[in-house]
Amino acid sequence: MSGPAVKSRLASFLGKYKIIIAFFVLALVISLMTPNFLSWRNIINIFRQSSIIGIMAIGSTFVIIGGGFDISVGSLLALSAAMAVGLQSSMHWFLAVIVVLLVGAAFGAVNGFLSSKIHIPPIIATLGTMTIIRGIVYMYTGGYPLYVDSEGFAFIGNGYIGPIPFPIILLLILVALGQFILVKTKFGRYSCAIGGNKEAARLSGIKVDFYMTLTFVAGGVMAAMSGIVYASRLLSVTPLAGQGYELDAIASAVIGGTSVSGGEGSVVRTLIGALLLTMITNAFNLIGIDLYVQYVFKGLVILAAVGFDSFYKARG
Amino acid sequence: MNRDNVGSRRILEVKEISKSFPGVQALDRVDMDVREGEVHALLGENGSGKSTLTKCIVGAYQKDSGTILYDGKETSFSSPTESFRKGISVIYQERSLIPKFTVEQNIFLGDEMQVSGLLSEKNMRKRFHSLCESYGFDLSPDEKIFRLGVAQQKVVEIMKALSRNSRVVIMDEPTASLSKEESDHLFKIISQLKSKGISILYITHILEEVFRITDRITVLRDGRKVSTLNTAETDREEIVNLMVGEVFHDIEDISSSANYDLPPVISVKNVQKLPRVRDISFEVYPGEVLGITGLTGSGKTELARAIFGAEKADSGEITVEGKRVNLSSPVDAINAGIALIPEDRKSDGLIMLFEVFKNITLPAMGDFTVTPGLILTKREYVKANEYRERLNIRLASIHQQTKFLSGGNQQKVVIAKWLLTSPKLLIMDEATQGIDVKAKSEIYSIVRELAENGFSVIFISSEVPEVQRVSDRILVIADGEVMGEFKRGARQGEILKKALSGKQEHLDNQVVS
Repeated sequence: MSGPAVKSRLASFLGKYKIIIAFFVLALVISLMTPNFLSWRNIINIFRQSSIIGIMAIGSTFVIIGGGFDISVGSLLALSAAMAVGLQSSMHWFLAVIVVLLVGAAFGAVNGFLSSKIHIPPIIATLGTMTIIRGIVYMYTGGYPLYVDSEGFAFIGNGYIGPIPFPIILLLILVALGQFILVKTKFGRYSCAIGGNKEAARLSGIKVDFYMTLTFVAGGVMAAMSGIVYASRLLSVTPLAGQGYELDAIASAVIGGTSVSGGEGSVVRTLIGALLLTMITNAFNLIGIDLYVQYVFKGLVILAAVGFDSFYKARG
Repeated sequence: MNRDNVGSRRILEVKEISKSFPGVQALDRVDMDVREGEVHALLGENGSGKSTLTKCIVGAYQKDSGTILYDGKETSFSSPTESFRKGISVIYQERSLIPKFTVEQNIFLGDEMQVSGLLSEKNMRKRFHSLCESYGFDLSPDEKIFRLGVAQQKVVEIMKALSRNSRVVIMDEPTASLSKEESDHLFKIISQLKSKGISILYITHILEEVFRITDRITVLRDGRKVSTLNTAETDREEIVNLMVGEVFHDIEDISSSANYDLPPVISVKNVQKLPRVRDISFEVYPGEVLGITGLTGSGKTELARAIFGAEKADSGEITVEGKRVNLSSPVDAINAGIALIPEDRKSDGLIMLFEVFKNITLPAMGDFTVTPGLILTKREYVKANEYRERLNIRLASIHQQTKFLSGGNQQKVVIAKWLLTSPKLLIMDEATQGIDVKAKSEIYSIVRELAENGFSVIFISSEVPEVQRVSDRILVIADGEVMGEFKRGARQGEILKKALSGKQEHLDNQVVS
């Protein structure tokens, strides 16, 4: 085998597994520095802290793979959480959860419509809806925190199945389901096709607008789901909830190797991206490093992950 | 046009230039020279090497061998930017101005005049007016480019070239999208440039223009220079013969499988898609390969896209197997049994990131899924492998990423993906562009085999020999209209003359009307 071939193989291997390698290398380094890091409690802790962003990031993965971007999901988390709490005064919590998921789907459809049919660049379209939804949250809550007290509802965020907290189980189930949909269904295949080459997809007879909208619907439903977990975990919601979460969700997806230009990605790797981000915060807290430094480090991780891809792509 | 002030000094000289690409000798020891104040036509069919030659001159390509003398000195430009700075500029067919900038901003882009680090509007305005004066341009410096017509945009590009003191201006089909009046205006400007001693290398397909404005003509064919002639001492007949060459490709004696007794598979009536497709009608019969040829810009691709619903036609009637169909999207066309292999496989035909099998099964996904949309991956593999063998697609595995395949194999993947939809009509637009000779001949065999199996094919290409080779019948298109129809076995010269004459006749008609 010739030199360049070896090189390109190495690059593609590193490209695929770099996130997993980075994850374990970092975990190893941190565990050497802080003995508590690898304790069962801490590991569970990291997973649980990742669950809300992780669920949201499943949706973001679909949106980005389809060539879109959705920065309204943080606001949508707040609205979903507020409605999940607020609706319970007039209906059973389970029904409230269903309604909230439908609301998430509806806002996702709006984002998809604005992007695909009206042709507003997705990041701007969702900038608009982000602001609108945040406004609705304030109108819905009147600007005050909402509280709820329901044992059934509280289970979603606080319950355990065996030794494992329920939010983690929910996260893992949704990741598995998301990965399955991405790899094994027509919707998943078409999303990749559209993000990979929209015109070629259109000329292959794919209803591009419809499927692009569906990716936003997936994003909206997952944001609603993360809002439900959020509300259940805290049993309260402030109108400020979820601010900046959209950025962590997008960061998880791109650290996990989802191509920013669309077409490629994996829900499982997005999960690892989300865990990696949480792990950094967790480790810094254990070591006792200032919060401000954490931001800088997280930013560097994002740049390193995306920079690696962009650089190699540009060089062919 | 006055031919008096052509100097004898050679401003640009090209000696024994060769350039090859994998599988193609694009230029083979080409010599030519351009004199000061001369308008020199560069003629040749598509693929004859015109654009490769100009690209080698300005440094967009690096020549394999040979020398280029500019102003008497041997030079080798590393990029078009460098040659532009040194005084050789190219006016490309596609526009290269920034639409939202003003005329003046575009002219001085990359060479802004500054006074102590700040842009000097005053100096640029002065320079702008002096350019206008000395060449007789009449343009407002503050007009935004997107508000200008195509012709005026060409003028801006020319002004940009002049602002850098260009001594050689290469024009690539400058009148391609100009009206007759606009072309006349351009010719006046060319005459102005000439009188100031600026040389012009003029690339075109339109012979009328060549005889009107050029001093000498160089004809290329298959990467070789055929001849350089004084325009005053030759005529259309001679030029066409030089371009076509007296080559008689022996056309294999294939047995036509076209069945003209059956009703046509598709009947296209008065299809219009402006600006390129004016009014086109034809039929394709079962088992028939209909070749469509014409020059670049004649409307072939736009016709194909209109039939496939990629761009909805303005008007016209399309009937598939006797039923009138409304093709407003590719989905409609696919449902009607039409498939399109697009001109640009990279941007329109394939998803390069995808593994090969995913590209192959994409349009026929319905055959590989069960409700509610679950993909039957095993079935995909089987089908993909079946077509890989059938079309002899050379790859390590169907799981290879498509972008790593050679051009020819990529094209076969595109063919495979459409065969999987079992189309009644397959439209192939420049299907052999940029692929090696072996893959080309394999594609010709595939086309003939399809026809033998009763499929219909529309084979679109600007290369006449390959159209002759695969087609049962040939339509020649020029300026968005059908100019002629030929039976199999027609001579290349006749077909090409029809294609070249299109614009000419059209211009004449305009004059009359």
